[in-house]
Amino acid sequence: MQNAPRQSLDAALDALRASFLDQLDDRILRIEQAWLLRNDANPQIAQRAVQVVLEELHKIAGIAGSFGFEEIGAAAQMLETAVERGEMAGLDARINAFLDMLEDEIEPI
Amino acid sequence: MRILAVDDEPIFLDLLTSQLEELGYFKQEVAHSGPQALDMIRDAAAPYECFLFDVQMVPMDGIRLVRNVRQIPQHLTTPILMISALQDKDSIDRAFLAGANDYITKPLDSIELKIRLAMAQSVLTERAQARLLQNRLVEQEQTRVASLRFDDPSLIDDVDCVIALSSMENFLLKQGLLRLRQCCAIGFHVQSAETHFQSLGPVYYMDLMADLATMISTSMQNFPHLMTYLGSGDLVAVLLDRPHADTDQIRNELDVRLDTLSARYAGVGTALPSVGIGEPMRVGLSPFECPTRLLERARLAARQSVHAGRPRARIAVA
Repeated sequence: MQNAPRQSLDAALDALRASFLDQLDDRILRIEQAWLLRNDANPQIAQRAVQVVLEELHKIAGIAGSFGFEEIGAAAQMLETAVERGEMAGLDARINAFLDMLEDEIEPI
Repeated sequence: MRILAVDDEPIFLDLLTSQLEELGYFKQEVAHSGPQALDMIRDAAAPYECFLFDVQMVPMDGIRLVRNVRQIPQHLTTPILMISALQDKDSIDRAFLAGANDYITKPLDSIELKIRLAMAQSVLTERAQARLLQNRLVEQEQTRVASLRFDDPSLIDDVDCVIALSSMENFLLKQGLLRLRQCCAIGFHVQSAETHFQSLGPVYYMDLMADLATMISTSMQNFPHLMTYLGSGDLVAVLLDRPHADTDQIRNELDVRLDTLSARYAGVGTALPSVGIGEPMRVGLSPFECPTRLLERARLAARQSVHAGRPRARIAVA
């Protein structure tokens, strides 16, 4: 795949940062929906739901810091570790707080 | 440096490509999955020179991708840099075991990226220089062998115990007469060597001599020895601390090995020549005789040996 024509790094970063924010809605939705299915009676669906949450958290942990959202990146990383280790106590609240943090970025108060 | 970056997060790839361009790397392409990357590597008109792989991807993670790429002969040593979040240390270890060379952490830091890519570039440059040097050495060696004349002595490479004629002469000159008297030299003459030289040309002829030298040397594996090629199809082995040698035993051992070698040569349509074995020679009693004369006497003894048409080792009849 060929790359976009070169532009100044700052301009490119601004555009990518805007894209990242545009995509946050979808990411929030995916995490919310998957998190609801984590206790599904069908173990395969429950397992896949946790996997989707982990994938989303991992991606956000990897890219948020690169666009200047270090706090979101660090929070995503901590949550990813907690979910991976099965540290479920208080995880609902932490996930909700994290999703709120993302929503705040979309619509700054 | 042609780079292939692979990540299943499109926005990260966009960020990465922007930073690569900023650092002056414009020959870059991206893939969104391991399978797509493998297709692109397979179909690439010019091979990629550096890979950047995310570790955690679906359906094929970065570690499996590294394993797959390392199975492609062209990319056995191509620098592979993993891109990973800091908490993926275990994955990084596994990626290194699979054949990755380095890693960059997320979030992406342009200074870190610059340093890691510069390291990859320097590895590539060093390898290119080493290849160039190796090619020159090979060319020089080919030129040397290609210009060889039939009666020139020549070093036979890659055969244990075989040394250059000049080294053998030095060795003999540096031994005291007493120690030399404890040695003997056995000559081996390759029959119809000149015919083989003419038909095979110098390069393949020396390959033939190397094969025969290997067989002769292994036939004498019970005797510590040094051997040299004197030119004109003549080899001489100096047996260390052995004033006598059972040439019957050497002949029998050599016959078995020549039979095996003969079958291999027949497979490529070449008849293996016979090898004459001379009687063991010892240094003369006169203290005025140059020790290197021993080689010449062993050579003459081998040439007096009786040859048959079959590729057998024959002992000179006294």
